[in-house]
Amino acid sequence: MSENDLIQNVQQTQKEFELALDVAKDAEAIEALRIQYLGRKGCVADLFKSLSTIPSENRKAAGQALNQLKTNLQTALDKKFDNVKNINTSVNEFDVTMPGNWPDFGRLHPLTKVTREIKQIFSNMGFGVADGPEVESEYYNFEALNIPQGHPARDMQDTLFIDEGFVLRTHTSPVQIRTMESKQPPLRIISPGRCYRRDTPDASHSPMFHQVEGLCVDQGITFADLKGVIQNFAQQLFGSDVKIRFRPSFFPFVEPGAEYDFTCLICRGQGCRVCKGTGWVEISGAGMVNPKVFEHVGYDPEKYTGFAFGMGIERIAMLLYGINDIRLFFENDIRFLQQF
Amino acid sequence: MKISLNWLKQYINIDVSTEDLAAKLTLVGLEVEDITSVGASFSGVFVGEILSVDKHPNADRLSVCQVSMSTETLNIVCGAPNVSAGQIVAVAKVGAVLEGGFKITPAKLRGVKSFGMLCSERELGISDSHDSIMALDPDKFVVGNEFSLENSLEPDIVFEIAITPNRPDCLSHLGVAREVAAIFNTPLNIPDINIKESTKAVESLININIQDVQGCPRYSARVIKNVKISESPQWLKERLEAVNLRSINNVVDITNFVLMETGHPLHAFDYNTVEDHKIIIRNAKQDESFTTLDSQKHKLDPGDLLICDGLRAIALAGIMGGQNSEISDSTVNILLESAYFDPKKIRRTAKRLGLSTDASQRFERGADPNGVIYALDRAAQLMAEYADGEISQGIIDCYPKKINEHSVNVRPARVNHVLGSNFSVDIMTDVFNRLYLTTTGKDPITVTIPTFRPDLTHEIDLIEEVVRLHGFDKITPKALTTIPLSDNRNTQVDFIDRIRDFFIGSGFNECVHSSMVPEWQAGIEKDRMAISIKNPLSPETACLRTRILPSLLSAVVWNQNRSESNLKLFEIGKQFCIENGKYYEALAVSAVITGIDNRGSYWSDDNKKWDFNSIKGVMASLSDSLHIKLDMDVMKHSLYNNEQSVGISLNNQSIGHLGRVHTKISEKWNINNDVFAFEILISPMSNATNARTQFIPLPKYPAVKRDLAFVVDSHLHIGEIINVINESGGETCTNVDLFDIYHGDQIPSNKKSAAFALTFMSLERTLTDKEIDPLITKIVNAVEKHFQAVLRS
Ligand SMILES: [Zn+2]
Repeated sequence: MSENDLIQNVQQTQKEFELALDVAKDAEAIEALRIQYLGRKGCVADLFKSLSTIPSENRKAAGQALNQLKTNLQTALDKKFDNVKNINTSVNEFDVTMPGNWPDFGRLHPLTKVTREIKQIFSNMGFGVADGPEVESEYYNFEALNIPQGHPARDMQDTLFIDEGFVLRTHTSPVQIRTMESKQPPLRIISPGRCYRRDTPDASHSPMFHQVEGLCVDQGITFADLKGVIQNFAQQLFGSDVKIRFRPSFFPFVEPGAEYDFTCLICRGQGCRVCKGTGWVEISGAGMVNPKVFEHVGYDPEKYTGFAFGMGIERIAMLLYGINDIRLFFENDIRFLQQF
Repeated sequence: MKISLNWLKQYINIDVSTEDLAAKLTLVGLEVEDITSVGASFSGVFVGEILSVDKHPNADRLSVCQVSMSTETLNIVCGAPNVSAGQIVAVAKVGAVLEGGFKITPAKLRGVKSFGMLCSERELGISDSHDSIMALDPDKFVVGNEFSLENSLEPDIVFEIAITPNRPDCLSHLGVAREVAAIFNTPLNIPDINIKESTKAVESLININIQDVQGCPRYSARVIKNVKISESPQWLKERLEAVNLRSINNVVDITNFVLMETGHPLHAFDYNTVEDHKIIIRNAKQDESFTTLDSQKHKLDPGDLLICDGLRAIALAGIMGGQNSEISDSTVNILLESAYFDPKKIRRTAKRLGLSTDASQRFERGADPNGVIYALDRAAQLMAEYADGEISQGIIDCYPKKINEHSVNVRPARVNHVLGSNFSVDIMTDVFNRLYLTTTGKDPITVTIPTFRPDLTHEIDLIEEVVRLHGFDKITPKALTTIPLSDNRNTQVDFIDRIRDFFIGSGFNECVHSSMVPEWQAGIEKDRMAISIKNPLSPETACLRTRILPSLLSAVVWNQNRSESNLKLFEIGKQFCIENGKYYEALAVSAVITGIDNRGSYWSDDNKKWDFNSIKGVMASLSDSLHIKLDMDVMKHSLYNNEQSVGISLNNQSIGHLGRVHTKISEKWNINNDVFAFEILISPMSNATNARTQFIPLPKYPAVKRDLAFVVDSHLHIGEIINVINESGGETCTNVDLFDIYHGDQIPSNKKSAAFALTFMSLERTLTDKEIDPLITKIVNAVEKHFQAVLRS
């Protein structure tokens, strides 16, 4: 073995020792290390043995390095031993300001939380939950909802097309039709789910968003019932002082059709920037089911009346949590998700 | 639709504030989306005279002024140094809107109330000067008058109104004025027609032939000779500018004006360019093409309707005229067209050619076939007045089959039955009459529908009119009382919530991603055919995702790039693909785990890197919490690393997979760390689950634990040993847990030691060694025999 080799071995041993010392946690482990390195048959003793194989005129540097190693190890072991001893003796000084060990828990997405609240409120009013496909036929998405081919109302929503006869549903309203086709009144359902429109994303538009559609059909259902349900919903979700307002509007599958507003949550109706000074925030559309829709599903429009309403879940969540950009919902930034 | 208030007020006489009018229109379904001012950049500013100036009691720099507005005197606090009694000034009263949208409201300045503001030049958009108030020339301004600047356009307010597609009648100023008249119950003043015709009969000047009566039920025309093409008068320019139309010349401007006034599109041809003085309305021939006046050449098909002269096409009916016959500075004689075209036909052509014009928008929603003549006459009269034209005698009116008004019966009881209201017949009749719908009878009320309201065809349409004008606020909300008996419980929804609850309880954050992904993500597995979108917004959203996992990988990289690389995420959503030529979508749940377990204790150094066993443990505990027995077996899958990949099955049906995400995949996302993941289908699990677990009585006798350690081949799967122990241990051996795996000292290098804790239990008695020992022997023998294992003593 050359002198250089030996010096390298010395350095290597020093490194290995430091790593081992780092993980040694108690007096026992430190004692074991002392034996392993400085004991009679320890590493350092071995290295001294190999020193003797090197011609004496070339030993000087290696000898110095080896002595230094021995001193280093001894000092380090003593120091660590004292540390461990101190920890053990100071065990009574309990530090209650240390951060606790958190149990592992995750968070529901804010859209899930809001959807659950909406479902709960409508469930209390006797509404069940229904679902349908997201790749939907044009018949269910348009025709059956009284939006015939070639009608200007088709331009009201920009549609994403899949192929001949199929689209990504632009609303969850097709679920209405599917439900009415399979069941007879009385009927009370809501259908939450994903919807798609060809909208360029910005702070208030997303090409994919979530909607809840509600439907109630029975004998003697009136617009007054619709107002009652929406009012009850608004007050349960936003507080009992919230007022509702209906404005006439046009959706081919309901008539009379309306848009409904809630009093602004920020200013409580006084007028502020969020509501552009009107005191109202627009929620979504609603109305009485158009008799033409009943004809499509084979209900007798003279016998039955019903109402339908929609709402955007993102919109509600943005109002509830004060979120100002819809795109945040779909970025899934952990710093966002962990706020809810 | 832009509506100018000055223009609107030509037809109705109302005294109401801008905000009030906007609110009222919105409440009858004509939603005012925006209000802008044109001409002057301020409104509500009046001329006032300062009567007195007093020092403000609490502020040195402010003065308190008494300002006369002729009919009233206002208390106004002012900060300008030059204010003095006797000055004539511009006063922004409460409600005024100044440059930059600044709105004047009553204010309290250091304890003194102030009802308005004395304007500097900056507030009125005249200059940047705002140190001193603007003193006006007493000879030019009259106290009390509205303040306006010289040489500017007449100040006007423009409403941007969202007209729903069912209301083509409101795409004009007269149409909106009719609604306003109905709201305020005031008369509508439709401009009178007063035409002086020449002696030259129009029949001698033009000949009209409709070949497609379905596509063009009515075509009428006038000829106006010797017009002088010139600049439009100021009033006409102002009207057009207010609705964002560029002034071109008097004749073209008049057709546009009448369009915006009546909602009926007109077209003016240069009469001298109309070959043979003949107009033929026909469908295009196959492969015929036509150049519209915007210089675009369009390829037509036989569904497109053309206006032609004796030789060629001169206009795309109802959409746009042609270059070959357009009005130019040298035009002398005009052929003025006013027609009614089939809405579907115009819409089809406009859509196909991507040509949406003011004319096509109105025709495709439905113009008024019986408004044709009024619009024609109105334009002719204006051309005589403002272009010195001579109107030839008579109108050519081709109207082969008259479209008549129809009537609809409304049952008053039905109105209240649908609305839940208690409206009287008088209220209903009043609403109809205000909307220019004539009525007869009381039950039913027979309502005659004019042709400008193509949206009113059924009883329900008229029920809507009643509540639209009378107000939704007249309906008292009612709580739903009866509870329908139906099978509304959706157990799948409950099941999904149980999955969500498991994940958040296990430290996973829920994600929601768009279902639309780029093609490379949807095609991540070669054998899964993605559904692609025909008209995607961008290549980034061209396909529907075939798995949820790629979305979670996107979340991993998004967060990794924001220095958050220790993540536990899950998402529930649909997988989409094409299977056997059919669109297939299925609800699935996917989860990823990556980085280290840093469970809150950042200061502790015993954090551990997540690994394959971590994700497998999640899967196993999910299965346990749902009470569904899921099997995990070795299965290679392209998404995962070859050696760390298992398939998940339920009752021998494959429902998903789990493993360490293949490096090749995570590299595509630029993810630095190992990611462990799974994805399984939800429906098979929710179908298999028994909603209720059945209770098993607690054991009355204590369990006995024994440990066994075997030295086995290092490649042997532990799962196989556990299976053999379970089999040979029989019912009495109720549980087998692995508690140690050991390589190293005393174990040959190609072997490992595996130690198991076995639990023995009987429901009938306490087990004795005599009973357990033979079982242990049996188990040891079986394991030794199967795997050439050696029991460690
Ligand atoms: Zn507000």
